[in-house]
Amino acid sequence: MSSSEEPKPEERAEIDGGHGSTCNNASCVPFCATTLISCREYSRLSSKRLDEPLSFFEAFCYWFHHVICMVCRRFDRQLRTIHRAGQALAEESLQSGNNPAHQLTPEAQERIRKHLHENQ
Amino acid sequence: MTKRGSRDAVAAEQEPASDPSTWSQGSGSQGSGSLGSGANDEAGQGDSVHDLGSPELWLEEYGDYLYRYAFMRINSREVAEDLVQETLLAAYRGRSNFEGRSTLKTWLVGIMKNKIIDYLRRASRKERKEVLEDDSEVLDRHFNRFGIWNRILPNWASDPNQILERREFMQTFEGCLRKVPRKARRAFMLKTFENTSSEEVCKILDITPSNLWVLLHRCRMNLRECLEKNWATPALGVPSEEGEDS
Repeated sequence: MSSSEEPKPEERAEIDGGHGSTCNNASCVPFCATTLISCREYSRLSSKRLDEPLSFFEAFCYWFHHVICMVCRRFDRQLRTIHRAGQALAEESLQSGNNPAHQLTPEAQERIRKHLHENQ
Repeated sequence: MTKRGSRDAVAAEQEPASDPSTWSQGSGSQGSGSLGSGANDEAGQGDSVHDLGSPELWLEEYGDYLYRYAFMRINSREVAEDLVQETLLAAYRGRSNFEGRSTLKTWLVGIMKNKIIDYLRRASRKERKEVLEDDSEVLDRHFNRFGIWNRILPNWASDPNQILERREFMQTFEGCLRKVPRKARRAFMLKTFENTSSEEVCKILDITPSNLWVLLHRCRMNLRECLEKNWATPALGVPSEEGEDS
């Protein structure tokens, strides 16, 4: 991803309504302190949420932070994309592919064939 | 075949985890309709045991498919080969349990799935216990001391569907997944590939639930970072044949 797609500071301010909720530096600590959880904790909940329902308090903290932090919303979207990519890869593994790295070598086939013949 | 493979194949006969009653289940995503493409698939539809053919024939027909299934989950060529061998041998010895309710291919994949879980269970118990209560070494790279992002994350795309349709993204994703530490990758595979319950994953990997959340978080953070670095270049397009499990 090229850095040219990163929003400029003035764009971020526009996105966030100018209240500095992008949490990109230490200057917004006082603001983040009011969001119940840090971006770091949000990232943990964002991951956990993909596997298990969050507790009521966790969900409250998650959504509160989600609403006000643009960077974390972006992170959350990327994590969900990764989750879906994992599911897509699992589907792909059930299809027949032509990748030589995903096929038995002739030597392995022969070894297995011999072993099967001897152990039937 | 390796000595380990032979030993495991013998042990597999005695393992309760390879219960024939579970063999025909397979994974939820392997519907027989989409998989039954070969002529031998049709043999599974109500034919007698004697019509199933020999394991050598199964190797010919489904060997690559089973290998691919195992390799993408275990990430080790040697282990995947052993698992194909064990699966075919166990299937042959338990062929009387094949009731023809699914295709032969689906039945074999069901056995392979159990073999993979058996392997992960054995491997996890052999390995030393990692201290997983804290994943600070991974997170410290991304957050400052106040727990705030060190930098603005670049935007990938507005529509995830667009990303997933790109071949290079999936190739890079597969390459990145191979680079994730072994235990974290196993947890991710069981949860995401197989949709295994958290309780079951903890039992298989011999870890606590809090360990599991740390592993999955660590895996996703690593994947995100790797994709961000490599997605734009095809450097990871060709997966390494030497896996971390070997």
